[in-house]
Amino acid sequence: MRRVWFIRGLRKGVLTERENRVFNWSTSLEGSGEVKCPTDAIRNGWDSSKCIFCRRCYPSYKPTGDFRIAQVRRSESTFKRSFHLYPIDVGSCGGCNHELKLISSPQYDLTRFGIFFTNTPRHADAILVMGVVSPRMREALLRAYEAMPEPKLVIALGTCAASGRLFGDPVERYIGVDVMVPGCPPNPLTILDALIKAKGGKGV
Amino acid sequence: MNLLNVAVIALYFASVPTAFFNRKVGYALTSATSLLFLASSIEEHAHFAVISSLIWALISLFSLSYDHYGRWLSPLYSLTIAGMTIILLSNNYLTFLAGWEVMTVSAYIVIGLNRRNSLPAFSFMLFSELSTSLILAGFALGWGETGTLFFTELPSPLPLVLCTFGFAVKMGLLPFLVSEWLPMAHGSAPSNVSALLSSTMTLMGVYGIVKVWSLTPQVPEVLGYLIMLLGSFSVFFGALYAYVSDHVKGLLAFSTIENNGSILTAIGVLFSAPTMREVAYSVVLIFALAHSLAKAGLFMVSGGINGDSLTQGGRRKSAEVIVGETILVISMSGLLPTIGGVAVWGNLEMLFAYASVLRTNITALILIAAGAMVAVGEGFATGALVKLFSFTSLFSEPPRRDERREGWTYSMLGSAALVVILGISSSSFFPLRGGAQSLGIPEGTLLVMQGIPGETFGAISPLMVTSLITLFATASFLAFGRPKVRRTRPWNNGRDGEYYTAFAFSNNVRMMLRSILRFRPWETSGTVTNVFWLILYRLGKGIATLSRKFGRTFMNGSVAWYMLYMILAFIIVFLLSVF
Amino acid sequence: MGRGLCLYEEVLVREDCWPLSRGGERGYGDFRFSYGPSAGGLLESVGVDLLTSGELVKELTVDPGFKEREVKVKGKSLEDALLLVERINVPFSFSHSLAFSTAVEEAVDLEPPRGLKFSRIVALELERIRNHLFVIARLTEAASLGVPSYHLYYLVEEVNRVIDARCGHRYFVGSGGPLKMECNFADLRLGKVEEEFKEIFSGLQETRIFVDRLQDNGRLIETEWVTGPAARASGLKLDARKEWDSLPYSDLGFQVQVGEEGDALGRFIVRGEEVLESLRLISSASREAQGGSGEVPSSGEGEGLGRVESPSGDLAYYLRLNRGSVEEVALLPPSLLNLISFSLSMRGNVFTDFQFNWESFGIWISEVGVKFA
Repeated sequence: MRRVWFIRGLRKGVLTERENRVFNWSTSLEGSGEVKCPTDAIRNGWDSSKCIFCRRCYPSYKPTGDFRIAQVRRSESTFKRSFHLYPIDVGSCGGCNHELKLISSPQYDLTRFGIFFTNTPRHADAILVMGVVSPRMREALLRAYEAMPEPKLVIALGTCAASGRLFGDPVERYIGVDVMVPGCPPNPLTILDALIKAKGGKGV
Repeated sequence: MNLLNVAVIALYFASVPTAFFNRKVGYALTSATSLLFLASSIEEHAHFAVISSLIWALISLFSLSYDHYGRWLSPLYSLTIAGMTIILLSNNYLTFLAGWEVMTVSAYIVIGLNRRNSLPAFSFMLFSELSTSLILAGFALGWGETGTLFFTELPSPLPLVLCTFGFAVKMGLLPFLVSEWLPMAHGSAPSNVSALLSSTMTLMGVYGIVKVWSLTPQVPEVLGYLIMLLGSFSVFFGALYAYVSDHVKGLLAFSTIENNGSILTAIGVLFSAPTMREVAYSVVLIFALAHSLAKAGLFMVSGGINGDSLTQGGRRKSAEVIVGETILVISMSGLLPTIGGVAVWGNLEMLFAYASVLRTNITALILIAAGAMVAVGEGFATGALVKLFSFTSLFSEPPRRDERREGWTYSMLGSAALVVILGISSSSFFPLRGGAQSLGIPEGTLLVMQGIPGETFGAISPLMVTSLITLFATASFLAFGRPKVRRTRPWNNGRDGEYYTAFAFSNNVRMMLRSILRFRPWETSGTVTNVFWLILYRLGKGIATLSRKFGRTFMNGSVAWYMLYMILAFIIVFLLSVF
Repeated sequence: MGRGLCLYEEVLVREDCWPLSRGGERGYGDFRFSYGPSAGGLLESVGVDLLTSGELVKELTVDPGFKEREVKVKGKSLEDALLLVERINVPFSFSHSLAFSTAVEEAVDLEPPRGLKFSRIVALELERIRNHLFVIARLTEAASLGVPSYHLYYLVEEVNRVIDARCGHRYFVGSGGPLKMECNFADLRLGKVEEEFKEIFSGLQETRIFVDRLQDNGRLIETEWVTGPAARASGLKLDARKEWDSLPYSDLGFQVQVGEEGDALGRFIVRGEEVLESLRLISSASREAQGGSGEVPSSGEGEGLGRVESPSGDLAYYLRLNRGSVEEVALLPPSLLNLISFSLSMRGNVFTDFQFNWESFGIWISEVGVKFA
């Protein structure tokens, strides 16, 4: 019986973490002083949407461990119990795709919040855009947005999608963005927090 | 034969030369005569004549605006119908066979002239003559037993056996779809004649079996079970070949084989189940009616398609055709509330009800096996019809603005309407009726199937289904109002792509069953070979080679051997004369 | 892909580098089925065109140019160029930065200290473990095996946390560079990962429904365009760790893992064996690993080639420095070769084999669709 996968799963037990783990990066930065930021994220204070967390400003600017750096401009409480996302990669480095896959790992388990992924924009509540908008993916992005039924949200995942640093155009240039999740790549807890707030919750 | 019937036959024969001079007048005369025939048959309760004349009226109306062939089509069309009328109205063996041959030969000429390709016509003739010879043998036996040429009671079941096999060949069920003669023949004819052949010529086969059965008091049960298995086997293979077919008319013709298999299964129950005789007879009639109507309608639709290939053919979409074809496909797939649904329900329910009567008897297994094969075949049939419907109606070019509605769509819509109306009103001609007051079903509208007399096995109510559909649709509309609709482009992964072809639609089954279908995926032609045809071909070649070898060794040109044969023959004759 | 700077062994040629598309003969009923760029089953955006008669794949063409990005490195300083290079393909970030750094070190003739080299080995092997676990997790997820796929994602996350704790970033971003390794690998313990993975790996090899999906799927017949685990699964003993001596693998007794069958099952098994080999290498190398950072001349000149065995195969950077800034750069990504092998191996498979075959190659499109400017 030990060889049956179901039994192995039961023996492993519950691995979901009830308390949030503390990471240093990518979390909000605090500090002062003149630094040469390669993406111009530190001008009058720290602009999270432009920061690629390269740590060149360290130790003038230090991470605080506060991962709630996502900006939720609009949320839809219709999706409170069931939130289906359609991820579209318009020109990413693969990091955001990888991290997005990892928030469904047992430690985080996004399905316990009622968040799921779909395979087609027709069934999606929100479109999750990763990466800078490459010229050839622009058409696909607009078509995917057009194919979604109302009400819908647009989530820009990662610094590339939020501000276009370092490689190209941000998503904002083509469609309106409702939720912005900065990071390079964003902390899994940041992503979860943003998603929960987007569907009308209080955060992770 | 009364005066009215004589008049009908005379009018049909009169329309043959009339059609030669003016096609449209010929068709009009044929349709008027058919309506006359319909009226007289309804009065006489001649069920098969009712079904046939109704179909002929519809197809003739369709032909009015469809015929764009030469002078030859219309007269031959009318001649075929005249032949079938003689069959329906005859009361002796000779006129029956005369009508049979008139029908066959006219159809053969049409098939041959249409494509100038001899194979479909020739194979059609071959198998028709095979069926005629079997029927002739049966009739000859009957004449020998009864001493008269008129239809009277037959003491032994042997004529029935021979005639059943003969009529089954005409229905395309024997010998096991070999060389696909029926789909080839029906697929090579113009649409109105294809409709005629599929709907009514095969109906003549059913009529023949039922006629001879009605004259035979003692039917062997074994015959019934054999027929049942034959029929259900054809249902499965006919439906499978329909599903993998890419030829529009070929698909419909295989569907004809499948439906005829179902009818034959019902006839099998008619033969072998003494307690269910009335129900079985009704099911045979209802199935024949449902199939003939829907098949005629579908062939009318196929008339409007450019070319023969589902993948490469094209047509212009029109709302009437979509609505009509939807209803016809629903009926052909066996869904309520159409008459096709009642027929399929009746057939399957009957098999399982009788199996429950037989219970522990081993023959119940035959019924269940037959029912299972029929059910699997129905699944493939639905798939084949969905494929047909999608690629001929749903996914077609939008209509040109200046295109006028073609006349033939009216007769197609007529058959679609009939299919629904007859389904809803089927309780008026189904033998066993009931009601379920607690569920709100009024008395007399529930169709009931009984295995053991007095015990209800199963029941359906098409009227209830229709009223519920209407009720819920209206309630939703009143509650939610008109839905908010936004038109967008189809989603195809973010870019444009090519359309899925009809060939690819059923390629998964072709690949899975490639050993049965003899399909080689990498060949660019992508054809499917009938495995039965392959067996018969090998058998035929083997026999030919064997007989050639035997002939050469026997007549070997050696004088010594010939002298030996003469001596042997002399000895044998001497011995025979002595003893 | 078109004309560009093509890197062959140690020769640079300007031509149409790799054949990515092949025409196919259309039979009756064949049509071009487009999958992607944006589809649910794909992790990244890639355009796949299948010539099919329905279910059977007759010919397959991949277009990786949908998410093409322009990487503006020319004229930038080494520090700024490294920022971009690390973010070309983040899951392979350390392999990219290591190959780049090695090219820089060769260009300006620098020799990193031995402890730094061992530290690099540990980081590279950690990245390899994480990626192989991810690939196997994707394979089991495609086969709908819930327990092993979630367990493997759990292990991937655990490895990411280890990397984050030791190097300050879950994907090594910012921790590597020329003469630089800012990771602390002292007392690195991965015993739990090893034990749990062994159990999963042996269990998967006995799971018939999983093995059946991979066996005979995507058999590589033409082995001209293979690299990495795909090459080793086909029986070829190709491994940059053995052939390129910039890192002291031979001191650790490194064994190249080779398979026999060039199908998806072989690629899966080779990856699993490599995870176990990498865990062994880490336990030896971490003892001598030493972090640190050295001085890199700010106005160096020269050209260098850095070659590294990334998790999916040979990864190489060619670099030409002029007065401390980048003048010319060319990248040989393993995913490009794997893409070609993939499209060749799909002939004759059916639709349902696609997912397994694609995942077994471990292709990352983000490193294929880059243009250096």
